[in-house]
Amino acid sequence: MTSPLIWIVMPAIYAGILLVLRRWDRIVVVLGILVSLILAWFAWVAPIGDTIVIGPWRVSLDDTLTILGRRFVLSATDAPLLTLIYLGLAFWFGGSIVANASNLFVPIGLGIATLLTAAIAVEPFLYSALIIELVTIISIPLISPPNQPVGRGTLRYLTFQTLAMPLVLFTGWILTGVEAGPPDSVFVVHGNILLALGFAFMLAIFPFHTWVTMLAEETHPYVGAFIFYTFSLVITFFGISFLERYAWLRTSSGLYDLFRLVGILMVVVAGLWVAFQRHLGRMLGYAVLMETGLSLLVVSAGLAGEHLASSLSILFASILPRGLAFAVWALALSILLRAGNGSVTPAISLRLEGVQGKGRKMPLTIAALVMAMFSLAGFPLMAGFPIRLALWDTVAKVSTLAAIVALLGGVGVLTSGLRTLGILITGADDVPWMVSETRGEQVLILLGGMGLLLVGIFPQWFLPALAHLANIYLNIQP
Amino acid sequence: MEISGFQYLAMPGALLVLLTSMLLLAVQDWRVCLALLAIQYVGVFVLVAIHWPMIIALTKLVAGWIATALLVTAISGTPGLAHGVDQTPLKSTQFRSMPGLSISAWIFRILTAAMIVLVVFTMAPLTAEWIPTIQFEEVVGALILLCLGLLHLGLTAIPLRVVIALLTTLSGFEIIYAAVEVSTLVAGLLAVVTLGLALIGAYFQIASVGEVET
Repeated sequence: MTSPLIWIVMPAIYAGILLVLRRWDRIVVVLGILVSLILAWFAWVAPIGDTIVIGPWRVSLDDTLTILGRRFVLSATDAPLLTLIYLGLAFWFGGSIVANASNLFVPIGLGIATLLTAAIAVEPFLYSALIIELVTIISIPLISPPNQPVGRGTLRYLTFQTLAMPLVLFTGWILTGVEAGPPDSVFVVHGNILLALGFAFMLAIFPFHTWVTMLAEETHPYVGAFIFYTFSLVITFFGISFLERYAWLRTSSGLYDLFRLVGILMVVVAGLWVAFQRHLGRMLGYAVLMETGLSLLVVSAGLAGEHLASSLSILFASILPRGLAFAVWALALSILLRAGNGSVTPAISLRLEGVQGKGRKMPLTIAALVMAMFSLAGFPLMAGFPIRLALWDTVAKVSTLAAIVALLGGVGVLTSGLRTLGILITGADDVPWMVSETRGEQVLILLGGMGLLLVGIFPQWFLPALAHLANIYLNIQP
Repeated sequence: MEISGFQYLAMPGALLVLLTSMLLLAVQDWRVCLALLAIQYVGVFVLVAIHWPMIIALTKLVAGWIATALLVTAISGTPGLAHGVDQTPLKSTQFRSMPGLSISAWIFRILTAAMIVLVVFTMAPLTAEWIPTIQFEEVVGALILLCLGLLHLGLTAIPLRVVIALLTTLSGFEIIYAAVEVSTLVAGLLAVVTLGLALIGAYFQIASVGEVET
């Protein structure tokens, strides 16, 4: 028995089975949650690389699976990451019960998690680019459900992710040449350009960011948020693997300057645009872009590798508050979509003019939506606040301008939150306040809102464990 | 890296991909388009087989042809009447062709493609110098596919054409990558990506119909 067999092959088979059973959507969701929780629990307790004793049986749990001459390795150090991935998956599946996402959400979501685990496990790690492309391909039916026109955002998403793969793969070959050759080799310039382009396509970095907002407008909000979140997470891991593998890249000061410049640009653009959007889905899209910009800013504070470990700790600690805020935001939008103004398409239903006054009928949903927005803005007592505080502090030590920009980006999201709140609760005076969410929606929305507050008030219960995930990247440690 | 006897077929292979990728830009009929795509994969196979063992290189040809067959099946299997973006019924002919190219647009495409081909021929010697294991003809073939694929992507928003353009671009990359990396897993994964893109193209075709050509 090998660990990749348990966390890659078996969930992949299971995803296939769930795909066949998708007609019974409730059962599929429950089974999906169950399997994800079991995999997360097993990742937590399983002695990877050791022997498991079950009664009279002794099973050796190796960490390597060889396929076509290449290795997939999930060692004991990856166990916290596996726990996080499958726990997060169970969390997103849980929300899908009331989000009314497509019945493909659970099977494809499990397939995506499986492939992303494979992307983390494959050696050489550069082949992850191919696996990430496969994730893009299998996510298309989820993003663009059958019997609906294919949106331009979907096409752009497919195009950009497909173009990223060759760039990153080819960079791998160039970087090998860089290591073998002199430091001022022409390969360094070419490698850096291709790598930057590849990651710009993958992470939707300016000016290749347009697909995020287009997709956020076209697709079901819960599906969109899930894709944005999981993609950014895995590509972040992939990017950090580059920094870990190539010491010359990690210690290059130019790289951090580039990160800072692009980060500032993204936070400014996204922070400004989010405040003026008239579509709740597009607001989510710009918030995603701002988070990417902030991630770049925090890595840029790594100061040519000297403080990279502490920067990465902040990055990893932000996984929970960010995921929670995106999920609550998307769940609230899904509920608004269900109770839409006669239109079933998110592009029309989630326009601000279409949801005006909805707050009086759905106060819990609106409260959770605004809380999620405030959390991403870094508002005190919300889940995002402790992380923002650490981020502002770390970034300010390197660049005051970057810290001010990060703060202003938060103001942009805060403005959009206040604006949304104003529009959603404004209505005719004779419309009474009432709670019209279903019981399931009420429970999940309340849980989400409480989660945002709980993580914000007691960050010490949750965030240190996540911050320690940075220890997986041993080469980066000072 | 070992070089096979296919090096003598490199020039015909490069010319084949040049011809097919230029025609792919200009031709509107989906049958001709997909036939050109299938022929293009023969050229790609020849250029990849220079560095890769015959058996592994064959995966490119087989995957490419299966991808083309998938697209053919999807288009020919769609019902005669479909609904457009605005839910208006579309005629069978409109649904199956890729409409919208005027004469001026056609001339523009051909001229742009010709200019790109000239740039490729200028850039190719430098690139061949930069990647020591690669031949001039391979670089020409690869860069033509990459650049014309990108041009195609920039000129269309029709899902089927986007997928054809992506397959073309990917083929260009595969030729260059074959010269620097021989791995069965990579060959397998790239074949899966090719088939996956074709499946998505088929899915797009079945799920909805195209949009306006630029």
